[in-house]
Amino acid sequence: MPAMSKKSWLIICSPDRLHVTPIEANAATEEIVFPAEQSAETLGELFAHRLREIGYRGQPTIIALDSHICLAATMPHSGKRSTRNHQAMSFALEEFLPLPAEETVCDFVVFNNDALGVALEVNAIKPILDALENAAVKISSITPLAVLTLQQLAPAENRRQGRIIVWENNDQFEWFLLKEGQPALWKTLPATEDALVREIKMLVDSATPGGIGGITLVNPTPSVSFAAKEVVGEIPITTRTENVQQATMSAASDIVQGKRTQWIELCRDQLGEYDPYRALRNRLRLCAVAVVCLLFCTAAAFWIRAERYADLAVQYKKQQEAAFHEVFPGQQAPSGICKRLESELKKISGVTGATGAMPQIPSATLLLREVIAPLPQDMRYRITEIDLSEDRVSINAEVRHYGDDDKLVKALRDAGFEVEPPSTEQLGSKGFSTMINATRISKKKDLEGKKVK
Amino acid sequence: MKFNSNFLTAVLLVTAASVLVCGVWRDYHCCSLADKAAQNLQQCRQIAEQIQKLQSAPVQASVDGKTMNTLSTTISKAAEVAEIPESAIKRKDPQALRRIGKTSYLEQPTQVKLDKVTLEALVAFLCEIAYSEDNLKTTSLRLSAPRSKPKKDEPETWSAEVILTHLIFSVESP
Repeated sequence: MPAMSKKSWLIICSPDRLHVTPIEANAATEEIVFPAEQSAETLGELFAHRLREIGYRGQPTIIALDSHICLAATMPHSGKRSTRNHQAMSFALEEFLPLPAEETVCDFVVFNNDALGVALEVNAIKPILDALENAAVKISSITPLAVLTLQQLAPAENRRQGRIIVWENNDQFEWFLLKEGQPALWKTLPATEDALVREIKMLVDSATPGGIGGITLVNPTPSVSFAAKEVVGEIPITTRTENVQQATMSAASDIVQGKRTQWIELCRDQLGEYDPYRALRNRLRLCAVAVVCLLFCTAAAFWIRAERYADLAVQYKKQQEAAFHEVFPGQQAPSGICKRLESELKKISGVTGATGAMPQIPSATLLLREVIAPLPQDMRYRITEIDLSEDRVSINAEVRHYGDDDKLVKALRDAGFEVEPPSTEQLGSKGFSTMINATRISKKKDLEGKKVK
Repeated sequence: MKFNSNFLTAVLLVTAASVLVCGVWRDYHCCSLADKAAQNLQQCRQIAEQIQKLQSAPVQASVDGKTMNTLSTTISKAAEVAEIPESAIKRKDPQALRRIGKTSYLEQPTQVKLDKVTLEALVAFLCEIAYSEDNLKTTSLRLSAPRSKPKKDEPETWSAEVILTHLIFSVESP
C-alpha cells in the first residue's frame, strides 16, 4: 500500500460536475460528471470510487465554486463596527440578492464605506458537499474559484487606484473591481466581445475622473483587446498573459500552507458543519446503539445482582431473629439484634461472674468458723463479744488465769491469723478481761497493699 | 435533524451511563449490606451460644437491687427456718448503695439486728440466708453475749448485728 501523499487537493465544483486536481505544478485534472437528482449516498459512492482511483486518500481539500452558483453584490455599510456582526451583514445583503438570508451562506470583503458580499445558496451545494463528505473528503475551505484566482492575479496590479481586472473563465468573463488590492465589485459577463464592450462603455460613461486607474485584460483575444481599446476612452487599458490555472493552484497552495487567508470563506454556518464521520455515521449510529444497549444490559445485571444481595441480607436478618428467639423466646426481636445480644451477654456475664471481675466479698460466717475452730477447748474462758468484718476479728473474752489470753492468741496465730498484742484488764477475783484483735494473714497483706495504693 | 439525532444519542448514552452508575452503586451497597448482615449473623450466633451456656450458670449478683419487701421476706423466712421468733428481729435497716472500687458492681448492705438468739439458731439463720436465691452474703457479724448469765434451764442467747450484702451488676456510666 503506497504511503499517503501529503499533497492537498482542489475540487472545482459545478452544478453537474467536479474537476479534481492535486495542488501541485502541472497536475492533471480529472473530471467527474454526475447526474442530477442523485442522493448524497449515491453520489458519495461515486465520488469515493473515482477519487480513490485518482489517488485521493483523505488529504485536505479546497472546494472552489464555479461562478454560476455564486451570488455577489456590493453594499454600503454604516461603519466598520457594524460589519463585525456577520448575521446583521447577512440580513443587509439579503436586500441585494434574490434569496433570503436563511437560505444562503455568505462572506464579505469589507472596505471603509462598503463591502463586497458573496453568497451561496445552501440547497444548491449541500447535496454535493454531503456526497463529498460521504466519500470521506476532508473539506478545509469553500471559496469561489474566481476569487481564488484573483488572489493570485491581484497583487500584480496597482493598489493606489481602483482597477478593473477581467479574464475569461470557460463561457464567461470574470469582471472584478479592485480597491486597495481586494475585490470591491464582482460581475460575470457572457464571454462575448459585445458584452465586454458594453460593460466598458458603461464604466466609461459612469466613472468619476480618477476613480478607475485602469483596466487589465488577462489573456484577451486580439479582437477583444482591440474592441476594448476602441471604447475605453481615457482609462488606461493593459493586457496580461497569465496561466490562470497555475495562478489558481498557487493561490490554493498558499491557502493550504497557511501563507495567505482566503478573501471569501463559505465553509461556515450551515456549510461549516463539516462532519468528518459522515461516511461512518450509520456504523457509528449502530455502534452507539450497541453501546447504549450494552450499558443498559450491564446496568440491569447489576440491578438484578443488587436485588439478590438485598434478599440475602433479609434472609440473614431473619436468621439473626431466629438466633435471638432461641435465647429469648417470646420476646420481640429489636432492630439492633447484635447489639442487644451483646448487651445481654455483658449482663449475664456480670451477674454470673463469668467475666472474672466480680469482687470477692468475704464471708463473715466463714471467718467466724475459722476463728472459733482453733480456739482451745481445754481451757475455761468466756467470749463476751466477737466482731467479724472483712477478715478482721475482734474478740472480747474473759479468762481465769493470767496467761490464758496468750493461749488464745497462740491458737489464733497457729490458725493463720496475725494477732496484735492483746490488752488485758484484771476483773478482780473473777479473772481477766482481754481484747484480742486479729487479721487473717493473706488478706492482711492485700489490705495493706490497698492502703498503700 | 442531525442535531436532534446527536442530541438524542447523547441523552441516551448519558441516561444509560447514569443507570449503570446507579446500578453499580446499588450493587455495591447491597453487597456491603449482605456482607455486614452475614458478619452480624455469625456474631449473633456466637453470642447466643455464650448466653445459652451462661443461662445455666449460678447467678451471683442481680441487675436490679432488692426491694425492702423482698429482703424482709427473705429474712423472715430464714428466721422461720432457724426457729427465730419474729420478735427477736429488732431491726432491718437497708443502707445506701455503694460501688465497690472501680468495678461494675454495687453492694447493697442491709443491717439486721437480732436479740436473744442462740448461737445455733443464729448459724442456722445465716446459713439459710446464704442458701436463699437472693444472693445475700454475711459481710459483717457482731455477736454480743448478754450481760446477765442465763438461767440454768435456759440456753445461752446472744445479740447479733448482721450486715447482709447483696451484689448488683451495674456498668459505670462514663
